[in-house]
Amino acid sequence: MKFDLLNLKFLLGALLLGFVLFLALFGAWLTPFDPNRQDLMASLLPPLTEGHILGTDHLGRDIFARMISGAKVSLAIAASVVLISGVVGVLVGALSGYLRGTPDLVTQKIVESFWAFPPILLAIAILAFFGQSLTNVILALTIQRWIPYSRITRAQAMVLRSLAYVEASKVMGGGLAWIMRHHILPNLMASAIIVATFSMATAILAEASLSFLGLGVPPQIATWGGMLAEGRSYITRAWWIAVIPGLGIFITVLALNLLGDWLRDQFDPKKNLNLT
Amino acid sequence: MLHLITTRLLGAIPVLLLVTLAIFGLLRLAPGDAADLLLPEDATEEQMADMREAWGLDRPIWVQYGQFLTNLARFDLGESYRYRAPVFDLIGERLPATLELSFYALLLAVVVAIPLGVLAALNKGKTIDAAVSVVAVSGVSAPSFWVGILLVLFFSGYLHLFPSSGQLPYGVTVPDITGFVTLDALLSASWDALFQAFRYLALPALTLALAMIGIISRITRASVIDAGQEEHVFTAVAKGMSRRSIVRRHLLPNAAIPVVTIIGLELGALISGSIIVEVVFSWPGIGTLLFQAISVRDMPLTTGIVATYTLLFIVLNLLIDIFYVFIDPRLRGSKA
Repeated sequence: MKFDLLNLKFLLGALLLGFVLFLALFGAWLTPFDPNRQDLMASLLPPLTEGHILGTDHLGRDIFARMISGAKVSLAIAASVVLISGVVGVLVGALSGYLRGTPDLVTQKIVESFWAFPPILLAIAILAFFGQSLTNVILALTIQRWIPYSRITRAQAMVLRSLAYVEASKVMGGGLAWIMRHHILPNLMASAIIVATFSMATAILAEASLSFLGLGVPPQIATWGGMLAEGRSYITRAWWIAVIPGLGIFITVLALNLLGDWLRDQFDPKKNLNLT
Repeated sequence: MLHLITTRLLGAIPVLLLVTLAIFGLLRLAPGDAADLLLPEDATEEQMADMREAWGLDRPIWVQYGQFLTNLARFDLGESYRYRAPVFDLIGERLPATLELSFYALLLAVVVAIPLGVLAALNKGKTIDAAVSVVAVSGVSAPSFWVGILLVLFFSGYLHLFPSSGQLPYGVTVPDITGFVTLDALLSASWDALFQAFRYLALPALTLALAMIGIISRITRASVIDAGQEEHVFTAVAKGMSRRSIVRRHLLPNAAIPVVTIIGLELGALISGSIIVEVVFSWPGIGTLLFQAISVRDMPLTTGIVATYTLLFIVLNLLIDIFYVFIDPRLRGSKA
């Protein structure tokens, strides 16, 4: 399989994501300011004043430093959510598609009921009832997110189970675990990765939405959504407090969507048909 | 066709039961019950026990669930801790505003996105196609609360064109006929109120529509391109049918099904998006009410609103399912 790396979607997506990752990992060394240090004498400073590259918020905290710590939180939460929901979703989908029968029927009913809730709403309910913590945010975002993986992988596993080499493996005495590991799961990876890329984008948006509603991680941790919510009241006097965190979310999500699009194009069987 | 509709309706019942079970489970599993939340901190154990007895919290869990379902069937969702009013009434008052906003947002999204998608498909690979793609990917990537704030900054703060919050200006009222402000203004011929109502709707509806425009235009583009590869289209081209007629008679009807599917799938996003947009624009709907209920831990109200949204979502999906039958003649004979 050849990847088309000179593609505009890939270049732009990789560049933007690389930029965000770089800032999340090394940004803390680029600024002398502490993200949580308040300095009421220096509140609401516009960008590029007194060494504050992106200005300060209503409590005089440096926005650049807060953006970096927010990036870490956003990316870490989204990555955990994508990892957990991906593993659960792919395993559930692969098993129910391969086994069919009762296990499949039961999982389909579960999938249907989870899907009956509008997205975010279940997350809002969980956080409203169980309180806010990092674990609860991850749980709340994972609870519906494994479903797209399971849907796609189930459909593929249903096709794979009747392929000659899978049946041959079964006839030769291959157990369930062996067949899963060697024949089913490797074939599901491509679609799982595509789903994961888009899911990472929506996870970042969802986490930011929850933080914006005051339902995300505890408020003492700086997050992009939380910064935006705080900045909203100062919007007419200091636009940057709300606009900059939103830009951070937008750039990250855009990068992931572009990369997801590109990956999908790469694995699209129609693309190869057009080439021949 | 009636058969299909009844099948779909009956099929929704187990899902609804599971959903109520999930909401009930959440409510019971959550730390702290009504007694903890409502009584002052220095309440005695005895007072707590009395309270639990009064609310039926001491009875077996399945009895409680039965009671919850009976109340639900009677549209009795309990009383809000904060407003001291029946939850059902509070939701009833605010629901029209939410539905109205969602309706206009969806309308705007469809009216903008479908022509954009068709335009992109007919000009595949050209600049206009690329421009539509850029709009689409930006639309789905921008968080709605941020877009809302940007629109407020520009249209309210800078141009002073549209108001940034609320549903009607202070002092302007319309008679309460249906609860839907634009409809009531129209029915009572209050043209000024109607004009104001649309001015107040503009920014929230646009914010909510933008994310959907991205997705709908993308799917429209893809389905029109797919429909264009069918042989009947080549035949139509070969026999010299005009471009306009081909689009209208051969492409659009066939592209409609995936587009309706995606609009159906987007209803979830519309609902969750409306919660956030309502909060950003202080729109007096159930999304803002939910936000307020959560911030004071008003559990009956929170549960009621979550249940309302879920029910709304299920009903809308059913309507979409039924709508398919109308647009796809192939489904009419089938019993699936």
